[in-house]
Amino acid sequence: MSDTEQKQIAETIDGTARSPVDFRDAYRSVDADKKRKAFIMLGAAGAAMAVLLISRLLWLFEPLLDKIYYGTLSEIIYYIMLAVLFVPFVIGLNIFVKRYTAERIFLPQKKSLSFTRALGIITIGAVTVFIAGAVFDFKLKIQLEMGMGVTIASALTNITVYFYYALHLWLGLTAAALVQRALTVLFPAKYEVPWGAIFLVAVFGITELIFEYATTDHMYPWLYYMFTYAYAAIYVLSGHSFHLTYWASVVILVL
Amino acid sequence: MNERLDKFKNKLKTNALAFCKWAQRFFKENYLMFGYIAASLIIELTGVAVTSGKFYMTEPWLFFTFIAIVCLISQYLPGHRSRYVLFLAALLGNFALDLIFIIVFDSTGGTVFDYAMLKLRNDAITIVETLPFDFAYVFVSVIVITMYATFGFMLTKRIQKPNVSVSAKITTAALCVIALGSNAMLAYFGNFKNDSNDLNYMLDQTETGTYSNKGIIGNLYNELVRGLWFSDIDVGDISELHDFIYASITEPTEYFGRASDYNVVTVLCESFEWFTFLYDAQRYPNGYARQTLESVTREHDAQKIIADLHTLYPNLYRFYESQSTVILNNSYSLEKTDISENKTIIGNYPLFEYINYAYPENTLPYSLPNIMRNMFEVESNSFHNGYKTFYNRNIHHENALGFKSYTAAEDMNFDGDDTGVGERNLDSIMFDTCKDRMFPTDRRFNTYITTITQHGQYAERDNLQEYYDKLDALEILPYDENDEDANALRYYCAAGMDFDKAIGIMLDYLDANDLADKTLITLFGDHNVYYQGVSNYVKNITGTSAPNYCELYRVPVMIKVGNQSLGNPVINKFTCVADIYPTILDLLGVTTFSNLNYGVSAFNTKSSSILYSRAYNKFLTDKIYFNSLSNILYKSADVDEKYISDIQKTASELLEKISHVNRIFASDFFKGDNEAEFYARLTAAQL
Repeated sequence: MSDTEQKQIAETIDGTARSPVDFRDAYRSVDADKKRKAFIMLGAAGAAMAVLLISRLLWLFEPLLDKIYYGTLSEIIYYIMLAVLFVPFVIGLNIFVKRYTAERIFLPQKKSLSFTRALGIITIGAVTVFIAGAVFDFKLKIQLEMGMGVTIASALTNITVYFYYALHLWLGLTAAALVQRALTVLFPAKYEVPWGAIFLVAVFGITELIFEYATTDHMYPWLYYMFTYAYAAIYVLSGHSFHLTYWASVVILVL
Repeated sequence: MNERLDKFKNKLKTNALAFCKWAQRFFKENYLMFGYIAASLIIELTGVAVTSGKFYMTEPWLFFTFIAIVCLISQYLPGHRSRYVLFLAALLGNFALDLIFIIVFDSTGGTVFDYAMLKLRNDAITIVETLPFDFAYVFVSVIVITMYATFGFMLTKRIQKPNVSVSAKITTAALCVIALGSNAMLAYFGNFKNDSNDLNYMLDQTETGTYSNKGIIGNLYNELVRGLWFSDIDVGDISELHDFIYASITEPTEYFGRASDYNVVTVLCESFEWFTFLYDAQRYPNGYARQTLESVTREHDAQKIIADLHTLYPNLYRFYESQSTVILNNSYSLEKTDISENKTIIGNYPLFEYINYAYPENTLPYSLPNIMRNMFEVESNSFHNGYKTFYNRNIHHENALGFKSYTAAEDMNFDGDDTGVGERNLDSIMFDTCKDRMFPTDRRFNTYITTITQHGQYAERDNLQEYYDKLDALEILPYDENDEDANALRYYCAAGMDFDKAIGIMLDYLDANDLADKTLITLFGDHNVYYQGVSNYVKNITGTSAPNYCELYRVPVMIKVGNQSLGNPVINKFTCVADIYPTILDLLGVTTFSNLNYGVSAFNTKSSSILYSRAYNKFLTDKIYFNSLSNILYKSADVDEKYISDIQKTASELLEKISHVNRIFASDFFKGDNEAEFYARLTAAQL
């Protein structure tokens, strides 16, 4: 190994790596136990995404749901089934990750947010909601998804779709949090790379976009994909705070 | 002398410095409180702005007392965390309450909360047909609350501990007493002026009939206080009430008795407007005329559309163009269905209450069914293809109004009952199913029918598909995926086509059974199409600065007097929904007591009525629209001082009648012997 290469590895280890070549070296520098844990986290993220996709197969039960009650109530039953599937899965995932990697993905962060970052997050939320409103001629998206000119009963049934979106976002963000932690471990760098944010936009967002168009008749899949950019930005600004990102994102997706 | 002055100056300076220091400390300790005040004001004012268009309140004092009370309660809490929770809860409560009343306002065409609404019980949720969330209000409020929640939470850890010393508590207690006292005084004196025996104050009141007076929270509180403690109606001098009722009788017109011995059919046509079936480029630029105005390559022209409309609405045209039909071309209604219904059956309506709920068992001998039964031994029946219990009709129609029966959708046993599945029942099916009961051939009858198909909301309905196909076949009102307003009109007009079919069923049945000659039929719109702003859209009227704002509430009234050759007369004088009852009685040849009638016969050429809207607290004619004479919202260009003076006189007379009607209802005046006396006097009045 040349002196230059040795110097690069040394810089990687002490956290000063900055050229693209350094990623490979940085990866090599991580010890085996950390790598193993990181791969477990990546596997867990993959499992979360798999559950997210497989859950769409629940719609195959539609003829059965229609036998229970024909009409929009089927959707509500489907959402309840999703919750029944997701909640134990996420609890199990959390226990699994904690046991095999010692990571606590849902533990609130001790570090408090600065005023500037908080203002930044609120601004992102406000701008996103404003743009979405402007797209719909300053009507709230929730209004349109409830259905214009429908009865309250239909409207209330229609907006249960937010429960579905919130559940999906929960799993997606969980996967993003795991990806963020895993790749940060695998590729130590001077500046933290927003792996979770990239994952939200490029993997979760795109997958959801494709499957929403392919398997549902929801009104604005493209808009929800655009929202993932806002979620990603909030995730970065909040210092990878799961809870803050999740709830801020839920507000955005509802409004 | 100078020494004393210096001493005084020093003392003043010391005290001023001490005060500044205290104020500075107080301010720093209470960032959360000042943030709450600002946030609460912004939320409330935004709510006021989106409902009234004004970013201010003229009487914000009640609202201020609530803010003060929350702030003072916070001073008793020992830490910033608990104060933060209190303020945040208060803000969320403020936001939620405002949102509820903004939704009620927007979904009911501008109804401001009043206490009687609480008596609507579970019907209230059905009346609020949609949940229109106002973007501006939600957007601003959510940002304000989010900012408060975020920065407030951060501040709880960073600002200095609050002063909860004994002296501070004493000061707070004193201020609490002042705030609560002010609140009670404002509530008391705000309602004390309401004298149920003299309603003339309504012509001078500063209330705008929107939330720009007290704000949404202030109005809610004030209405609760008024309803709970100031709503009792002083029945007062019974003999004066008695004398007032019988003071004068109606004057016969040239049409008096034209329909005596006739059957009576009154059809309350839900949300019926002239533009359902008429082409009028001036009045309805966005109605059927829009196609001709926009048309460049299409074949449509006005004449073709008018011809097509005759094809689409053959029965309404058959009615409208009949030589036997009188057209009330300048008639208005600004009420909800239940009030319009009552006004056409009893001719009046009290203030402050919804009678279907408050007085469903009262004795009302002057109702048309009761007059028909007691004067002519004619049985009256009521039909409505909506829910049986809605508006408490199942009790009110039989017990108070005097119908022998009330038949609702549940009783009609027709195929395709669509209640409860998000659609509206078809009027044509109701008429077809019930025609033999509505128009019996073996006796004289009085039938009241309340339709429902044209009721909002206007979305694609499966049971109207045949009408969409007909519209599409003629390229009239085509579906436009980019124009919700145009689509709402399309769905509304398709519903109108079913109403047309229902009218056809009725006319055919009456013809086939030789009843048409002896039947007086009245069709009237109960209110404009406020759902989804269809009226505003079609008439291109937004805001009271529109060239003819009153036009917004102009609705059809058509009266077919058997098969008499009247020459299809058109009455252009101002009439309103309250005029229908006296007009029917006039045609039947029944003289009544005019002080019980808010309106006058449409055929009366000497006097006109004025519309007072119980639901919206507004006065209306075809030229003027006002909440009070000190708050005229719209007047046409030709309104002069004389007109205002005449209107003031007419409105005062109407208010005097309303105050007496309040007392009649509150005391159930006609219960017992007074009922018999009424019929005796009514019989005597016919001579």
